[in-house]
Parts: sequence; C-alpha cells; structure tokens
Amino acid sequence: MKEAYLQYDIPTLAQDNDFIQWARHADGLPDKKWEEWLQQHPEQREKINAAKSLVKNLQFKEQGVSDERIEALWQRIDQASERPVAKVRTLNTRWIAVAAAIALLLAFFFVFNNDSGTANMMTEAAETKSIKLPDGSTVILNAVSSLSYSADNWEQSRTIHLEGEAFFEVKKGAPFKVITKNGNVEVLGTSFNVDSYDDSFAVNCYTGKVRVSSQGQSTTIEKGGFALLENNQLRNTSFDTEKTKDWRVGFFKYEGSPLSEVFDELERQFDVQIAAPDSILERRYTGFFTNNQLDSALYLVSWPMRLQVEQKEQKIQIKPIE
Amino acid sequence: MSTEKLWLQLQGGDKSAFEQLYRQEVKVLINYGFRFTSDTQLIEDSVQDLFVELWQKHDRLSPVKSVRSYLMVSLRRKVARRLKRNIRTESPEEVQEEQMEISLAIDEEICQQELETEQLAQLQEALNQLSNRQKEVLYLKYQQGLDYENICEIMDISYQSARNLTASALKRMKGILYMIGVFFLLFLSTNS
Repeated sequence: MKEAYLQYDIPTLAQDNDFIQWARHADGLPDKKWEEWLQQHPEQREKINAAKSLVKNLQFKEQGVSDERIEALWQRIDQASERPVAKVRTLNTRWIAVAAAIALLLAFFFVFNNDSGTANMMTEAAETKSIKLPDGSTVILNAVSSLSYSADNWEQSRTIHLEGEAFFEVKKGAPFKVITKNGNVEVLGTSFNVDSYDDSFAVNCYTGKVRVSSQGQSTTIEKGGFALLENNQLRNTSFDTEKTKDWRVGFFKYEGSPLSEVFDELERQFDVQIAAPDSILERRYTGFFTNNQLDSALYLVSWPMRLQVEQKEQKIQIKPIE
Repeated sequence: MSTEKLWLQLQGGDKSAFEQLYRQEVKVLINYGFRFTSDTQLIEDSVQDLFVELWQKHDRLSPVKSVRSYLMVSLRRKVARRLKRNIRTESPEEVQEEQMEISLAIDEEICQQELETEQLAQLQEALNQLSNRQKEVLYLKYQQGLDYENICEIMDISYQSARNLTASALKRMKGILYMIGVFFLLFLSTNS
C-alpha cells in the first residue's frame, strides 16, 4: 500500500486505479489489503467510504444495443467494404423499389450471361488512376474513390456509379450518366469533373453541356459552368476553365472551404491520419496545396490559419497556436 | 481473442478477424456515440464509415497503442463531423438540445435505501449539470476503464487537463451527493 494514500483527498483517491478496482468488486474479491489497511488506519474510514460511494455511483446507463441491430449494421459494413461502390445507407422506399428492380435485373443478367460482369475500379490514398472506358471515353479517378460500370451493353447505356471524385472526358454517343449517392450527371459528349466525397456534390463542366440533378432539382451547365449542392440547394455558378489547375495535376485549391474538407483531402493524398480539435474543423480556408510534398502542403494550410503541426510518422496532430 | 491480436490479423487482411473486431467493439462504440447524440442512425452511419474505412485501408494501418482508444477517437471525429453538418441544415436550437445526453445509473444500494423519487430526480438533475467534457471524462475513466494516457488522446487534451477535469467533476459530484443526503445514507450502509 502506498504511504501517500494517507494524504490523498477524496477525489484523488477516487481516481486511483487500485482503489477503483477494490471499490467496484469489494464484495467478491479476496483482495484484503484495503480492509487491512483500514484497520490500521481507522481514521481513514470516512474518507474511504466517501470515495467509494463516488466510484460506485459513477456508472453510466448503457443503451441496450439489440443483436438484430448489430447484425444489420454488420451486414451493411460487410457489403460496403466488399463492394466499395454499393455503400448501403438508409434508403427511402422508392429507392428500395428501384434497388430491388435493379437487383432483379442483375440476377437475370447473371443467370443468362455467365461470362459478363461489372467492372470495378478503386483508388487508395495517395493514388489516382486513369481509366479507359469501352467506348474510348476516359476517367481520371481521384484518391480514395471508386467507380463501377457494366461493360456489357456499354454502347447502349453508358452508366457509371461513382463514389468520391473523378474527371470525365466523354466521347460523343449514347447518353452518358454518372450516378452518385448525392446526385446524378447526364451528358452527351463532353468533359467534366464530379466531386461527390461524403456529402459534397459539385460538378465542373469543361466542354460541352451537362445536366446535373440532385435532391429533386436539376440544372444544365455549359463550358465553365459549376453546379454545387449547398444547404440542399443546387446552385449554378461559374469557374475559369483556363485558370483552374486541379487535382488531376496534383493541385488542390480552396475558397472558403471548411478545414475538415481540407484535412480529408490531405489524408487522402498523403495517406496520413490527421487529428485536430473539433473547434477548428469549421474554420474556413482559402488557399491551395500540391500533392508532392507533405511538409509543404501542411505548411501551406497551417501557416495562414495560425495552426501548429506535430508529426509522428503517419500521424499528424494539428492545433491552433496559443 | 485480444483486440491487439485481432488488429494484427486485420493488418494482414484477415476478414474474420475484422468481423470479430467489429463484434467485440461495436457495443462500446455505439454507447460512446450516445454520449454525443441520441440520433441512432447518425451513430450507426458513423460506425459503418469507420469500419468500412478500416477494411479498405487494412494493409496500411499502423500499429496502435490501444485499439479501443484508436477506434473511439475515430468514431468521435466522425460523429462530430456529421453533427456539424446537421447544424448547417437544421436549426441550431434543435441540435443543441441533442448534445451529450447523459444519465448516470443510480447505485443499487441507494435504491435499496428507498430513496424518495424526488431525491432521485434531484440527483439526476444535479449530475446533468456537469459539463459535457466532465461527463465524458468520467465516462471514459469509470465506464470504459481507460487510463489517462488514452483519455487525453481521445479527448484531445493534455494529460494534466484530463486529470484536472476528472478532479473537478468528482468534486462537484461529491458536493451533489452530499447535498442530498445520499452520502449520509451510503455512509451508514457501508458501515453496518
């Protein structure tokens, strides 16, 4: 037993691991050392009892989590991690009907076409991929993104499911459709960029004409047009196609974006884990970084925002400068 | 199997270890999520994101000191982000009310003392006057049995502030318990 226990006040005692263990299992455990100690120091009993009642009252009510929920959540995780594109989320009944119809079609498809299949591509952190589609259209897939499409019937129905961000250069032909969980884009032949990471949805049109729809709204943008989902409103603005260097050349530019978004991109581009206090995540950043050097990218973000950076291998801690 | 061992197997791409890790940790994580919101859907979505990401980057996971606190830090961040996003779309008042609902279980011994329901309500109310940070530190230390090293990592505060926060929370609790006489009753019961 520590001598110091004699001097401990009640809260200090209640934080001592040894004490907590004894207080919690006082009835069942053969650990007699505290009892013996109490007999040697009877004047400590009042203090000990007070601390004990504190510890014993510190039990939080746990929410019961039913086995069904745990199982259902596991199914969601299992599916989403096997096929990164088909992330299952809460769907309303209409989408369930659509999904069921698609599932049925697919089932049919697999029964009658054993050799056909769906093409899946995905990128890891710090990686981009250039993908050639069956009709010669190209897709550049940004980091931590995935897409899938059915290679059969490609000429008739050019439909791609995207999660994350990608740049498209589409050859003229049948309608070309990009489906994301936040909204859809439809075109004939053009080049455009789709950012659908997390909850964001933004489409830049570089050439041609693009139809963008999300949350029951839709808009058409032409070269230089920029459609953005903000507060559930699909906004239509513009950007400079000549000046905008973008992620395809490793250039990441922000105008008043929350730091949480910037940190997400840094994590994806450099394959690091960034820890930052919640208090700074909503602060707005205007600036850029490039994806060739972590040090300089961190500096470009942290310096104007008055943040300090500590790095231990893949782990980065960012804090405001006090 | 220990979570640390499962972590190693997960790094090697063992799907069944991944599943087992999920099953071992999910209750703790969901309950931790309830410290910040009562929105079950939001918590489950965050847990899903966390595990899907874990699997997708399993071959690039670095070794961690404590798997549980690593998962808790990640979940905390995911929940915080989702809550912040909601604030933008919902009215701020609505979100505020949802934050950090906490109820402390009343010790069985106290119940045996047949405490007046009024006193119980008083105790509950007084406990809920602790700040969210105070409640969280108590939860991590006493419910999860984490040591201060992990707690300061999860809550993103220094070792000393974690200790100070706990001490101040305990002092307030002590005052509260004393005030409504629970202390006295307990004192008698443990003496007898």
